[in-house]
Amino acid sequence: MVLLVTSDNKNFVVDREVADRSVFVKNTLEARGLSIATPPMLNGGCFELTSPFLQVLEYCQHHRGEPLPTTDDANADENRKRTTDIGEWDRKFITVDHEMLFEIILAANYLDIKPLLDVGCKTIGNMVKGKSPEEVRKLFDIVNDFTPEEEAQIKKENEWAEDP
Amino acid sequence: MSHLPPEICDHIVDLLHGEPETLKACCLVSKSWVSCARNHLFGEVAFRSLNDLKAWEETFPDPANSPACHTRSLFIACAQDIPTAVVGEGSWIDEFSSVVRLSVLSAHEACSASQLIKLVCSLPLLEDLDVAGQVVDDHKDDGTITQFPTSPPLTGTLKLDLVQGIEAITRQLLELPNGIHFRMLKFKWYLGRDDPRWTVATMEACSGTLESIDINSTKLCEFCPFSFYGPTVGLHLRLHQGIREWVR
Repeated sequence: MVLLVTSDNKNFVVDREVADRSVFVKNTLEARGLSIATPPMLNGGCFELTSPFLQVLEYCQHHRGEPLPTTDDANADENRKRTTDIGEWDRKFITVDHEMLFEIILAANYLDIKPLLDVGCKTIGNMVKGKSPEEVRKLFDIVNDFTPEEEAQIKKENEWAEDP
Repeated sequence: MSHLPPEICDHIVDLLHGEPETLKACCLVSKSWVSCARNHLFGEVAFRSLNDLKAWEETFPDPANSPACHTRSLFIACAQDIPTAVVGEGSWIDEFSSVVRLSVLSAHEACSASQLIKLVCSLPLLEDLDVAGQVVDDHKDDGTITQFPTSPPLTGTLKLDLVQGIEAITRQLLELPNGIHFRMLKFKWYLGRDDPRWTVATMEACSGTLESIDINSTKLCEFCPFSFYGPTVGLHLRLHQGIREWVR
């Protein structure tokens, strides 16, 4: 068993097999020979992990025992990145509000859980598909920083783009 | 998404690789989205006529703002226009610094082998070269071949599907300062004027890397030493330890 402590001082005791789904936790434990991972910091500030961490733990528990993606197969990695298909369980799991979705993605990124990061990114990718620029901005609260002239120029330039 | 770090935003846009309309929309979301979306949108660029070339230069007059740096596959169907329109100091081709695959088609009029090689040497990361149509050997008479200070890696596939010109291209490729290191050779030609010894020399030059050869030419069978040596072709290739496939 492994004790994980989040940045807001909540303790979680989990099986080593579950904890090892996170490459960050796995490497930290192996490097320090300890059973405690210190509270993670993100972007120079304290990252309140408890709420998304419960979700992350649920994901890791569900996928425990499954093979972890390896870093030595570039093609598999490319294929994994190039599809937006999401499994049934993962799709239900990731059906959360935007704020939680972003927090799960940030947690997966920090804790280095690539399959979960992929699920989160694919979910956002699927949300963006077929949307207009304005709809995407609205969806993710993004400010349009183009002038009308710049926007027209980008449109004109993009006429060159071949279908990938 | 404004809350997510750039590398995650890039990952998300990467997932939209096969969605050109969505990628075009992503380009217009905000300035920070442009580069990543264009990495996919401009992955392949085609110039089907000289007018296309001129239009490109008009649309992207400033190399610093050109999306050419994202292009990995470049197709030129107006190869015969290369001598006057393309290659030269500070030409637009220099913007395409990430191209790894060059396809050239010269269907109605032969293009110049030396200009084609200049084009090849303008693409520092080029791995695959695919030439179709016809190519003339414009240095054959005086025997001089342009010298280049450096040449691209040329480690992928060399595909030549030509009415004529395999000799013209291969003899100049063999002169490149960094040599050729293709893993796959695909040769197809229709006339017997090209000296097949250059084909053999090309194979030998790639002997350290060659994995696959695909030759489809009845003329080759008539003119190439292979047809004389027949089963002993292996002797010619016996040093090519990487060869796993022989397709005729």
